[in-house]
Amino acid sequence: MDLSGIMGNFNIPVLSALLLGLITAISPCPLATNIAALAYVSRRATERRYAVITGALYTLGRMFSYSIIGVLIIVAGLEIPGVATFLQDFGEQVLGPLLIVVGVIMLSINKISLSLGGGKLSSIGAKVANWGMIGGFLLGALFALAFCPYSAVLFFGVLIPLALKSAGGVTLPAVYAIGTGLPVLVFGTLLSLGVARVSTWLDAVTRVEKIIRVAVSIIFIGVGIYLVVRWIQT
Amino acid sequence: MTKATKTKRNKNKATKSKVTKILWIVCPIVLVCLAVWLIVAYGTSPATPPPSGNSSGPAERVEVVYFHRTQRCPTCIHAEELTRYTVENYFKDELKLTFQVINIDDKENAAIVEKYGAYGSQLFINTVRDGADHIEEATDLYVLIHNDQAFVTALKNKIEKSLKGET
Repeated sequence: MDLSGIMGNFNIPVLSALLLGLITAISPCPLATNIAALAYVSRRATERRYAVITGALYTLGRMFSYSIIGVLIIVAGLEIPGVATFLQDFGEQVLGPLLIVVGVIMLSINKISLSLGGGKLSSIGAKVANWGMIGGFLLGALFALAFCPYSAVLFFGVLIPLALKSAGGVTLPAVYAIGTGLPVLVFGTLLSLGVARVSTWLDAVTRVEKIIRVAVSIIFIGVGIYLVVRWIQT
Repeated sequence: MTKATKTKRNKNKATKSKVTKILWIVCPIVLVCLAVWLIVAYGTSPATPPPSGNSSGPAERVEVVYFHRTQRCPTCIHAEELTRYTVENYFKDELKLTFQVINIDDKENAAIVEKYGAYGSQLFINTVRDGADHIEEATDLYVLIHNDQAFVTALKNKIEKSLKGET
């Protein structure tokens, strides 16, 4: 897919911002967090609308974070190098461990609660799982703050300068966020529709749901470990 | 449960489904309107000004500087490789050109990091003319990273321009 070729032909900042978001979403490192988001968004097979709404809220969460960063730089005049350095550290050092913890908590409501007979951990886990749609928003807001080296230069090096020189540029980070969230929204919905279809067909909705919930937890832990390993390697 | 509450419930359900139906129609329309408004309101970006014609001849020196943090990603390493390939392949005999790879996290590099204002995996081209720096970040190359040929060609053009002092 050659999005960059298309991008060069546009002179419309809004479309450039959207395409930049798409380029960000499909590059390897942001893709890792997007896979976790995808798993989260499509985890409820019985409610078809759940995926669409959670995916939309996930995108909204990203819009929220990117807009705040945008306002801090464009309106408040914060220096780009400082913000960029801070957020890249955040991505490496906070997000990985956090994903592992959330993954373990989510797993605990499915498995550990049975063996330990409840307890505090599983009650927290139940809460996290019940956040549902709000969880989608939080996930989006958090994942947006975690910049990889490549997404950092696309955001701070390409998008922000574009926003600085175009009129009404403050809105561009939000448009960029739609681009980064769009793949999750579309594929999350398709995935959840597919899973729903297959599980009804197999007449095993509840069982499939349980398997998915465990799978989502494992994906969270896996992505968390991937991020932590990359951090430790240096 | 009395009959009255039952009908009330059904009524509630009916209005609820109506509301959701309306929401499903309204939301996309609002989004489309928003997109159209954004495009119309902000229109096209101002055209980039043509390069100033009063450049004072060719560059004395051109510095290609690639920055990275200790923590690296595959895409960024690829960017460094493509830059190295371009410099070594097309500008091997160009004595005015230097190519540096700088780790931002290394304390020894603090001065050069400060000079370029670097914060991550970034590529800069500094055209030195009349003893003055003309630092430019090659941001337009970032989106070409997944297209090797386009990246190399664009960088080659950029460096050639810089050597002629056209930046």
